[in-house]
Amino acid sequence: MMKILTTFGAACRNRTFLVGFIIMLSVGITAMFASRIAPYTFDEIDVLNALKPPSSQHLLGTDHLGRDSFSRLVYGSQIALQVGFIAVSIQLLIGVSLGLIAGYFGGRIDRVIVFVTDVIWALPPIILAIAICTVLGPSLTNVIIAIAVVSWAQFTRIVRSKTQSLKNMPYVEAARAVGESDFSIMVRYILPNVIPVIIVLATLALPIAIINTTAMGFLGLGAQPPAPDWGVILSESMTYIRRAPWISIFPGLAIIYIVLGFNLLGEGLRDVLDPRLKI
Amino acid sequence: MNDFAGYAARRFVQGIFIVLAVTAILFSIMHMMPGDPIQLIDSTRLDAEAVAKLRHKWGLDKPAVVQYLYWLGNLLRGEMGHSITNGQSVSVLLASRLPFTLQITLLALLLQYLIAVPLGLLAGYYQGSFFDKTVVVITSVLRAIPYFWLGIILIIFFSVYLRLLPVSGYRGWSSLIMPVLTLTLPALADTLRLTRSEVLEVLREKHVITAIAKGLRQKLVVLRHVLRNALVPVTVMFFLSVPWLIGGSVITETIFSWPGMGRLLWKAISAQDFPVVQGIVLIISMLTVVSTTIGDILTGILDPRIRAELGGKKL
Repeated sequence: MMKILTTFGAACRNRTFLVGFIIMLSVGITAMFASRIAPYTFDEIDVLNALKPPSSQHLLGTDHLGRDSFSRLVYGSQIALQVGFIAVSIQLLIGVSLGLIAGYFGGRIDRVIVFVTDVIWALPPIILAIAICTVLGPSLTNVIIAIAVVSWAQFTRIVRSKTQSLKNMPYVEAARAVGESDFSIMVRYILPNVIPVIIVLATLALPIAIINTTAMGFLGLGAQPPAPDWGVILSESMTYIRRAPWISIFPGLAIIYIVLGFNLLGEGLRDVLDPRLKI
Repeated sequence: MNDFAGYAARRFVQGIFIVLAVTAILFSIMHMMPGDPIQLIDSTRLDAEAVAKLRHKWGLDKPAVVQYLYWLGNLLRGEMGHSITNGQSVSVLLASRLPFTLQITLLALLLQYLIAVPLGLLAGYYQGSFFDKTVVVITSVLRAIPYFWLGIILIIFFSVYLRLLPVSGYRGWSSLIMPVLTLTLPALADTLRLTRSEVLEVLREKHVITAIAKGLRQKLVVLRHVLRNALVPVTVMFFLSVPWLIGGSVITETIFSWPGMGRLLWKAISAQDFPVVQGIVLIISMLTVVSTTIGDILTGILDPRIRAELGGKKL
């Protein structure tokens, strides 16, 4: 616990981290108190006031059904954070365990795992994600699954190479000599030393997961209307691009804000935790 | 050097297996989809017998494994099959679409490197200056921009507001501008950052410090020592980014109704047109494997230290 606090203290002296942290704090608060911040609900239809430009009543204007764009964006932050965290957790679970196993045991298991990661690597993620979502049917849950499945490979690669260099360290040899099991060595001796790298990678994987989710929503394969998913809002706005361009502009700015926040947070963490790491 | 040739050969064989695995995976995913392409074409106008006949004609009544082997066998004879949706030959279809995709992706790559490398070099060389700080801030923002939103914003600005460019489709060179910009800008940020950080690293190396200490002219040091070394990872990145650009082209082509391979793939997946999807995936995975292999081998040629490592280590 103390270690986490001192690391956090050190991180806060890093300006990149601090800016990222403040951005993410604001996004977190927005998502948590969405119902208090948003003046309307995300699905309140008011056809008489459709496609209105920004005004004092509707801060960012209204969409084609007269729904308040600002409220929809605020509620959308919940979807973005939720999807990001769940997808990256699944990626971590698959990626880190495969990386530990491949790096620790080596030999045939290692070759099989490396081959599988190479195969995943050889397909642009968006193509595999489109195929998976078409099979499973369009829904937010399926997008989370698809995104988790297509992008765990980077964790495996890094964790594997770190494990390879750690497994011959004297303290691991000592643990083995004392009679610790393979599982215990992997989890209690090697994993803790890989965690800083994992934290940095995961922070940088979050914004990618969010961008991919909105991309799938944009293509109509993700969250379905009336969900206030930012990608769905963007794809709906395409029809009214001439009459109401403001509907298209703000969801993009929201995506940039959240992605920028995570990127800065991740880069700051990298500088503090592992400056030599190249990502 | 012999080890190096062995390494290249191993990579080649491995690459073939990866392409096979990728096409097999996509094939199985496509077969897990509910329904089949015949139903999607016009199930109402056909009676059961006609549907069965069509299914037989396309081999859809056979097990998926047999269908995959058929496809593979035909491929070895240079035959990629026909589109189930409209009966066109897949190779002809791809040959007509691929140039459009290559046109925008290659232009985007070229533009990206022409802008990113010089700016990255300058930013790294003048680290901490106002110019450097501006570049870092701008690239941070550029990296966060989603492709599809950038496309929409360009349409709003150039087509709706300025009325300068056609919104979509292919109408001569002016149609190229927006799709190329959409692909270039977000990718540009990564390349620029990479060049900058490599330059910073090389500047700290002993041989560069020695060169400066010897009193060689600054320009010479930058061109001969810094740029040459910093460009190794940047060159590798060039080859590694080819598949990502193709992935990006799926969305970009959809936004701009660009008649390329990405949009064809998107349509073929929704119509469950197996032969077309397989053909495109084959090309994309081959491009990926070839470009990553070239990238890895180039690293070895350009940086002798890595070549020495490759000889001894299994990869």
